[in-house]
Amino acid sequence: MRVQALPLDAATYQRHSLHAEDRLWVEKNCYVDVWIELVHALGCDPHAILPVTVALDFEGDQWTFYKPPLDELRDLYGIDVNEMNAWRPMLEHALEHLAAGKFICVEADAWWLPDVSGTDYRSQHVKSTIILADVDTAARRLGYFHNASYYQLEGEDFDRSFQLTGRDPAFLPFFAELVRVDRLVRRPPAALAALARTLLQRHLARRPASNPVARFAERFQRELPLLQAQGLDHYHAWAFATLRQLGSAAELTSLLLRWLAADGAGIAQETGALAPAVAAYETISSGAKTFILKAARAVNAKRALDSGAIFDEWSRAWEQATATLDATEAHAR
Amino acid sequence: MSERVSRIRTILKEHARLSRDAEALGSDDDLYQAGMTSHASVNVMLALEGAFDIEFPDHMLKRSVFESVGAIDAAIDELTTGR
Repeated sequence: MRVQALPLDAATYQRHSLHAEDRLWVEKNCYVDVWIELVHALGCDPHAILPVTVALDFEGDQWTFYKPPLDELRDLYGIDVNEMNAWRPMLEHALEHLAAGKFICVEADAWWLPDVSGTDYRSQHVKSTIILADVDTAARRLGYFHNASYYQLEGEDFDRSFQLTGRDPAFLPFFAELVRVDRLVRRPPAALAALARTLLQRHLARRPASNPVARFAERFQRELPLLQAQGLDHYHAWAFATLRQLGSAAELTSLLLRWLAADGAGIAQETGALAPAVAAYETISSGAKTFILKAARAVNAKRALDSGAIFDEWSRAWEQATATLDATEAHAR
Repeated sequence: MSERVSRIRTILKEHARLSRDAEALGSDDDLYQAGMTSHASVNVMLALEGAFDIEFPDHMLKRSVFESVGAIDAAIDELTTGR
């Protein structure tokens, strides 16, 4: 039995440009990544889910693990998301809902996800979010969105992902959401950009009250000896929670602003009054990319890292971006 | 194949977690397309610095410098010429 919420082929699937190989941060976080791709696969433009990035904050041991708010998915695209009560085996839920044209956004164990063969597949039990789109029980095959693209798994990976074999009696169901697209709205580019601009203003108003980069800088300088004591594996986890969220969100904000400058019809090279904010977010994004490597070196070699000038530059960039957007968005209202 | 390229391939084999054999990669083959994640590229950079006794300057700490055997070889050549 095969059920498909969307007819996709993992071998020929074309990922969205936000996940292009030449992006500084190809993968952002698992949750926003799958939403970028599902919105794209449904024929809509995912740039409009990005305004949330402008309110990114530093939360002490991590930057905001940013996600598209569910009410915005509904307002922008007519996509309806609710928690799914996982009271049956997940495969039964999948057969039921995919056949009805719904998707299931669910946490999974990356140990059984072959698309992450470079990191966790068959090496680490790590929770990650995927979206189920295509299940074939006879072939024991699953088509799923994960990270930057759409993939397929089969065989033992299928059995274990759906807990068909090797069932652990202490296993608790993963968190799952049911995604309905029967009221999907595909808006013209300018109309979608206008809505996204309203959301940008909303998120700008709820941005951190104090400069989050300055708070991150202070914490990093204090914490570097601890990072050095805990080694590289711990560093990678720290970098994912901090620099990757900061850097990828800044790159997405810069791309959102370029897209808004083009009224939703592409990525503008000339961004007019938004230009200082675009440049500021690009400074933070590229700076964080370099800093991941510099800090890894300092952790690995257990030596000092003079990060003051780097953080000062990002801190000024955050102030500049915010001041620019305050001015342009007040004017746009 | 130069000794340096051979050492680069050995490091890739140990640290890049490629889905293909590092020895079979062409000089310009994209390592990211071959499965190297940004996580793995950090370990590759550290191993290269240790093996060749170099430190990549900030302007070289970017994706393109680590995207192929040839790009890595060129970067190391630039850092070690004249030693």
